[in-house]
Amino acid sequence: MFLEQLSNGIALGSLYALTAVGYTMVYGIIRLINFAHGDIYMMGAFFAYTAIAYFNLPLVPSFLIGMVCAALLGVFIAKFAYTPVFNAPKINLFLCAIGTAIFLENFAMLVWGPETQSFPTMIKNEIYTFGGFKFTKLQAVILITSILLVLILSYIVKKTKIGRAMRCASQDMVAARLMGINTNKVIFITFALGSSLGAAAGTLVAMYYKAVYPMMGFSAGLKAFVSAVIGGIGSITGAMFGGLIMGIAESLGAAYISSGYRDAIAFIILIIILLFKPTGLFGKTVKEKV
Amino acid sequence: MKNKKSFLIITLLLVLTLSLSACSNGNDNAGTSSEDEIVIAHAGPMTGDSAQFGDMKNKAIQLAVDEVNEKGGINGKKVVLLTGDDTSNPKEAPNVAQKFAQDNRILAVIGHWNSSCTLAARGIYDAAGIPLLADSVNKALTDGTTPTAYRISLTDTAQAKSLAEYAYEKLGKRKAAILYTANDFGTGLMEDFSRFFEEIGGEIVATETYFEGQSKDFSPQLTKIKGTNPDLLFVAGYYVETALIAQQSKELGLDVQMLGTEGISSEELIKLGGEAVEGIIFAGFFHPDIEFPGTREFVDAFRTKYGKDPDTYAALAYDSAKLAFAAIEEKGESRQAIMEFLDEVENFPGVAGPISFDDNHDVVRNIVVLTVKDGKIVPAAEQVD
Amino acid sequence: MGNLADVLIKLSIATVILYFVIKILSKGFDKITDIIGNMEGQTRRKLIYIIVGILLILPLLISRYPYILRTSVVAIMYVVLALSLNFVLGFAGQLSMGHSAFYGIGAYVTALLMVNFKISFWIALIASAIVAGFFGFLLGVPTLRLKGDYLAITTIGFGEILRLILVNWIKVTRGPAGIPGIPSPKIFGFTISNNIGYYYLILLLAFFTVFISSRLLHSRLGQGFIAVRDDEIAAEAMGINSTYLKILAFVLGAAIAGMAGSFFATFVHYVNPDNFTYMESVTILCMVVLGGLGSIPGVILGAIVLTILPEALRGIALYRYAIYGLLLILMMIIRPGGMIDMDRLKGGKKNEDFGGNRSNKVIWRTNSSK
Repeated sequence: MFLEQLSNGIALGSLYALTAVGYTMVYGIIRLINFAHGDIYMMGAFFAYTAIAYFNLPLVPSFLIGMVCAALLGVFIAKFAYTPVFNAPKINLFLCAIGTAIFLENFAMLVWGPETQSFPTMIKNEIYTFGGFKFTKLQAVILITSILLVLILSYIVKKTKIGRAMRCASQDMVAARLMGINTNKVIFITFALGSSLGAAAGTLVAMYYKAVYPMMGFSAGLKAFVSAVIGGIGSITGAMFGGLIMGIAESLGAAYISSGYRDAIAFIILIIILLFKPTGLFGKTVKEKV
Repeated sequence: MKNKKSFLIITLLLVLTLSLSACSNGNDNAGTSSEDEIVIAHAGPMTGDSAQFGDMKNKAIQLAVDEVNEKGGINGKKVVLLTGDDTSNPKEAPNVAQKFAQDNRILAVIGHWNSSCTLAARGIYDAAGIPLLADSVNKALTDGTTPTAYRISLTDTAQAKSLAEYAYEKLGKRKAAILYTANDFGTGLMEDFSRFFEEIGGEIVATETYFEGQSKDFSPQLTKIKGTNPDLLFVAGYYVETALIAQQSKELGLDVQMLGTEGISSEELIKLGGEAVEGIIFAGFFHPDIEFPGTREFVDAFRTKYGKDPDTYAALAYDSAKLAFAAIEEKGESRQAIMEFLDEVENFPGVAGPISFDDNHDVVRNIVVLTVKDGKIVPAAEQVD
Repeated sequence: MGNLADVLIKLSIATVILYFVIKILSKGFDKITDIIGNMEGQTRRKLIYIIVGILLILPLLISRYPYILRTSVVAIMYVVLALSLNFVLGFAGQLSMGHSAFYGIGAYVTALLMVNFKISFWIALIASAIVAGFFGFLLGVPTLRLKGDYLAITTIGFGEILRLILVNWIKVTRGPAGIPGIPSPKIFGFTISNNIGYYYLILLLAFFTVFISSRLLHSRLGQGFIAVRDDEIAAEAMGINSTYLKILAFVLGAAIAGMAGSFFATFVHYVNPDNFTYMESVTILCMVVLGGLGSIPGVILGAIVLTILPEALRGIALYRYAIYGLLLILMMIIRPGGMIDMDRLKGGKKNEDFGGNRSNKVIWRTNSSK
């Protein structure tokens, strides 16, 4: 029973982790809690769904189409909703993000209808047992895809020129600009990467639960946010761990404490971690500049 | 300074009148109707977590309206439908209600799908004397404090009782586990089902919960339920989650008979659940194959118009609209007249079965037991007595 | 999917219209802001008397339109809620996103006391304020260490935990079914049962809140708040006890939100956990920021506009919230200081330069500097 719950938790946690990575990336660069991230995740799932259900494309191209469309959407949002308020007080950026989230949810509802659509079954589900652990083929696919995507992402951030520019910008936007880095380009690429990761997560989740619906981004976004904060916002490793911790805590909490308080458990862990380590598990402590 | 002051006052008054006219505007733009139109209203969730249900109901009512207009309307007048969105939020529902209550043209309101919304809004309908035809199941709705409310579906208590008896007597189940959605619908059914099932000798081995529209992962709850070895899993929720629960319980190796509520009798259940929902038994108030006068025509018309099958809520909404039209035709165009009709009506031929209301304004009807067989919803072999 | 083009066209048209409407209104807001800012004390007082007068006779004028009357009551209730959040967000600069929790605590305390113990509304109102204020204290103390985004997520968590308690603690709160049948308040043996009565009741509460807000803003304490908000470290160096001020802001904001919740319970006669969700906190937050962070007339206007707007947009039912989202974005881009900008209000045209400057700063600057 415990092992089973643990494997439930890891499966759930890997989904959270993937969403949280995209979240934490955008935060790392522009210090923005992107409330719309969950909704980009939803839009990504809908794009992939459209490619499959309306244009009868196979899974992999649809998956990539979802990621590309979401990346474009992310850049579009960054361009028209976020950059105009970059110099205003931060709360404005915050509200723009909330506005974008509300807009996207309702936009999806207008275009695809409010009801839950069933995501076509693309991968036949088989159950494997490995030691005491039980996992399905789909869970394995999700885990492998997640790891692959995060590896690609780490490569981009650590090894490429644009990655270096991103890391620079995340340290100090103004200094980066002075050093001749095109910070606008960096911001847009960050959004594109973060959004395509979000879309990948959304599509995987839609495949896993065989359902896409306009409100699916709301609680996913909140959970991703919590995972990112637990891990230390801005840190990619932190986000992965944060997601796993959340997933395991939720599964075990729902099993041994109460299923009704399941979502509260995540928040309680969050509050406890923040009280003892206000920047999250892997976050760097930032000295205040006086 | 004097000039400035008067300017200021004028601007302020302007702002005030603007804002006031803005809120009364909402009334007028719907008000293209004139004296020779009959207006009924539908209040329900058109956006938000439960939007799909409001959408189905609205489609069905629109169908009824179109049909009656094609035949030349009621007493030669065209029928117009107004829709109010309560976003399934009990805070918004009274606003919709107040808006409808103020509009004297509206003769009857069909709606509020969510019990919490109906409960929050019913006082306003009552004060305005508008008949309210609701399909919310919470028992408190017809507690006698708001005599203008009529319930076209069974209460959660009645539904839970029928289901508990069916599970115990017809299916021979003794150890039930319950997974319920944490809203008034799920909680009400969970409580009543537990009570009745234990009264007749059954045992409730596990009670777990989840959140509608937000929870998609049920594996912790199901794993826990699996540990208690039930012979029946009662899911008190709606179709999306029930379909997911069915799939996940199969994946986790929890292979027991599932029992569902009236909230899952929808084609979407099968689309979402696939093979996993095969054999699930659930309650309904309507099935296209259980024919009453008009059922076939309704189902055909709905399919032609919207390209999908009507569900229970659509059928009930359609019947509600038909009831209102019949009342207006027979008793006259007033709110009072409609209520008189509803009080007296006996065995009104509805597409979901004959309709009569008891003294509490609850409908008198039985549940239909449905099941999924070969990817289709069909009436179960054994029905309730 | 088939209606994609249709939806896009409609939304683009809406965006263009909104853009110009906000641009035009923006001019109007500037005018109003300047006029109020430049007004002398006496004229300002006269203006306030006129507005109060209009508010007092308003229900008699609109009693024929119950829908408008009801919307007015709801709008004034949101004025109280927005002003209560303004203590925390506008004065102390703490980004609290769990404000609906206090509102919910107030509503449930009143509902439970009035339904279970038949306690008079007035005692329940005070009890609600005290209990909500206590929770404000509980939340305020541990969150002192947290800033900006971390504070935001913690307050969201607090709000969600509270809502889950309301849902799951069925024995006391009756769970998701909510508590129906909350009686109307009585005053001198006279029961407030119609909306005109409720209008005056909430108006009284609104006057009280505005009074406290403006007294506080113009007191030493209020100046301390502004100092802490603009630069906490500098303020502490000047001998301001920022800890005390922040907790005070939380307690005060929570207590007043609790009173608004208490009013809500008797007004609707029914409370349910769905009323106090995260989205409700976001709505209140939008009112404060759209109106003008920290500026009392701005917050009032923001609350009124954001209550009336969704009602006015009811005609376009399905597009309502999509347009609401667009409005938020456009408003923040075109008018970052809110409808009535506090800095502009304070000094009028005289120090416009400074006003423009400050808006370049970040509200919780200390967090984002590296």
